[in-house]
Amino acid sequence: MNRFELIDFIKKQGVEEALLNRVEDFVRENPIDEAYKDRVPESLFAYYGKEIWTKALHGILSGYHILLSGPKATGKNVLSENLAQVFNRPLWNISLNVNSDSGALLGGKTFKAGEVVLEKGPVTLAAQEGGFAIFDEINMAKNESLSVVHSALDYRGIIDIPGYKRVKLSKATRFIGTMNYGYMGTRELNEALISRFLVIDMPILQGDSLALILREETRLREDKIDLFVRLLMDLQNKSLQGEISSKSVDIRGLFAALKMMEGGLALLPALEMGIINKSFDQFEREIVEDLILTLFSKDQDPGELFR
Amino acid sequence: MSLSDRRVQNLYWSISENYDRKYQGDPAFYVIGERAFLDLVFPKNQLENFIKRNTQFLSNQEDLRKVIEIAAKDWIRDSFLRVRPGMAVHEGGHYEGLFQDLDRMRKRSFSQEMDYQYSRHRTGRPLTPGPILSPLLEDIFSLKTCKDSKDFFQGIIGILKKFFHVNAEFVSEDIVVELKDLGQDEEVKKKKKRRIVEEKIREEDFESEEIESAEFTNVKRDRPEEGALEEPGIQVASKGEEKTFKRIVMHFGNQDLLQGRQAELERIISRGIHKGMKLHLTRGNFEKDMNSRFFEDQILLQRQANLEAFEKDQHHYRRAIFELREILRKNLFDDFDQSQWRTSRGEVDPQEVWKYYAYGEKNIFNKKYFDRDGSFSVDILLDMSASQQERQEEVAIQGFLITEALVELGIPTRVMGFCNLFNYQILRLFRDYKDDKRQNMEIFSYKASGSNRDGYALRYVFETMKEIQAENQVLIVLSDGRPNDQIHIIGGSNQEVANYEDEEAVYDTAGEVLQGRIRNKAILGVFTGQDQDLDQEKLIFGHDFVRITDLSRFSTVVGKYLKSVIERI
Repeated sequence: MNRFELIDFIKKQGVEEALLNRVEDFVRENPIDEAYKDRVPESLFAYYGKEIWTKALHGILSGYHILLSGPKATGKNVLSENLAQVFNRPLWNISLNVNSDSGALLGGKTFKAGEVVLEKGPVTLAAQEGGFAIFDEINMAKNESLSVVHSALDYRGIIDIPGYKRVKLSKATRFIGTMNYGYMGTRELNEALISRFLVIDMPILQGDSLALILREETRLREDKIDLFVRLLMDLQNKSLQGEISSKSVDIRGLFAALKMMEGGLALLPALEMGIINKSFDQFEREIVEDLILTLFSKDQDPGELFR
Repeated sequence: MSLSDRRVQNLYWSISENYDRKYQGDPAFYVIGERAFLDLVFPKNQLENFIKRNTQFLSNQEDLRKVIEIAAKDWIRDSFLRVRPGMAVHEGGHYEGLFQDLDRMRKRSFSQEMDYQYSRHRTGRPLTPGPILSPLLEDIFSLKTCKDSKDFFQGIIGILKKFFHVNAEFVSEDIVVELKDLGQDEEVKKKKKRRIVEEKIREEDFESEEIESAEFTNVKRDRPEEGALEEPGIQVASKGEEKTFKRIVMHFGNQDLLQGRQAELERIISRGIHKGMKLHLTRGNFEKDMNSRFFEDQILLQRQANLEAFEKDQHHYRRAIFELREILRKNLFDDFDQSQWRTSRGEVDPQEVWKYYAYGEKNIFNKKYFDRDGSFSVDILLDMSASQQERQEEVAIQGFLITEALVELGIPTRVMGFCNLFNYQILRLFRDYKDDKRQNMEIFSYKASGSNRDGYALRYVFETMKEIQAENQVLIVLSDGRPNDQIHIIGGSNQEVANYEDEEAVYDTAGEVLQGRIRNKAILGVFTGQDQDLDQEKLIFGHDFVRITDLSRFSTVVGKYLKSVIERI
């Protein structure tokens, strides 16, 4: 989907025209360096939800960084990617984990032609080139590692790299954090970091939004769309009730399974690969499989599912 | 297909969309699904209430129930299979099985005949009803056109009147909910909560306490509060050391410590205020004589009560274990152990730069990695003194929840209960570090009796923690913050062991906790006592204790605090 299609899509959801005009002004005022044009993402999926779009656009246009918080399968990554495309910014995506240190963010020193030089990291590049940097799963990283970007995120807008120089944040640069807060097994973010973001609480995907996505993105028959929506809603509910982990609540997995079914793979093996086997706990798998078997017969002809 | 209980419940919950209700019927796949869908269509027990209200006092209530249930099943059938098309495969199998079972019978009761005819209908066979059943079944099948449940109930009322001369009534949904179902449901929920946070004293607790106290003190008394123990005229039989030991074995089971090891440990830890104390480590294996049998039975009775309490709310507890496990998995295994590697990028190590010029070596930078396999061991210590008698089930369940979560993560976990009798420190070993997971069930053999010397028990634990090699050692103590061992009153033979009570006991316990922390152990208190003892608990554990008042938050609270104490090691 190109940028204009995406903007059209946002308009269709009822986001105010005036807001989108301000986005266009932003894009005009912040031309992109040719060298980084290929970093502007071309989204495969678009985020559905007027309210969230409005909040995110306002947040970014006001010059703030945003933190998308919500459980799995709420569209955090889709929205962050969409935002970079709408604002026509090069995107750096940083998947954080416990081993992410300041070097992974700012860059590390290396040898080039017999000299120790700084190899810029994604945060430094995004800061200099007016890009968007996504801190994916920000609460997976150690707070200490993220403290190096505190000065970039607040009013100072600078990154001081030891042994290098101060990098001033371009006025088009934004940081977008995604996190899965309050859910099993996540860690607390420290207040200093949270206070540097505007937080958007991503709503749990509702059945009608998912149906819309399935209708747009797949060739599923109308009556079958309901069944797949129910499957994902049931799984989501089960996960929120603490009966299963969130591993099987996997929209990406569902899309992959549908693609394989469209290619002729039988329903159960496809769902096994895309959803059931995402959990490595035997009990959990059985529960998920039971659920699937209430909705589909074991010998469902995959051809019948599609238009 | 035979399903485990967890699968049965989950199947029911998925379809009924009601995660608060427990399914207790036939564990067959289709039956669960059909029942769950009925509960979805008739929420808040609407159908069951209708049946009870209109058939409860009638002699043919079973027949009427069958008619209503078949009508309801038939009415929901199409929607059920539309919403859950996967159940169609199971439908055939279920009704075929029912048909086969009933077809073989020579004589069938009215309900069986109804089932039989209905199974014929659902398996596509022609019906063979007599002249009486034929119009009844026709009327039942005609209910299919009812648009909503109100219509359906009106239809049923008509059938009951026409064929059974029963003047049934349908109370509108709101009234049904208000008068019966909702009220009942809410009450159940409240009860559940109360049971978890404020256990009531059962009468048998008093009885068992009396029997036991009389046994081990040789003092007869009516009620503990009458203060009989403090009267000077009490006759206390003086026991020799051997006799005391026999009593201990009789009460708690055989000694599992080798004599040499016991002496060694006592030499190290029985000092200061605990001088003269002896250790009795037991796994609860009793002698076969009658007296021991009596105490073993007491424990078994309590075990049964503990297990019943657990099973009653098992699904919530299983959820708590699952959540705690996930919280711990992330928090315990993510942060520990930094290691450093030489790489071609990262922080330059000035001492290595010459290598680049000498041999072109590029790996002269350091990069830090966090190893995920920081090793752990956890000790769980359960206060097993008589002051816990009011909440034995609660303590056993909480201990079990933490243990299950830890053991499922493969963390070596030792669980012990501690109490005192005479000059003996009883340590009931429920599971040792490397025991099988099944051994966790032993925690339900928790039974409170005797007094407690928390400080001494802590000394024992710290001393024996050395037996397991782990970088991070954690101790979780479930206690009521009331260390108390008035040994001179009940014993008589051990005047050399000092009393352990009041401030002195609290400060000694707090001192031991501090000693543990100094030795780099993470210590967390889980408070299982009463409000007035909170200050003492705070004195002992500082800020590192939690009080669980709502079990639904058990995993979050324990997980979070456990993480914070471990971080400070």
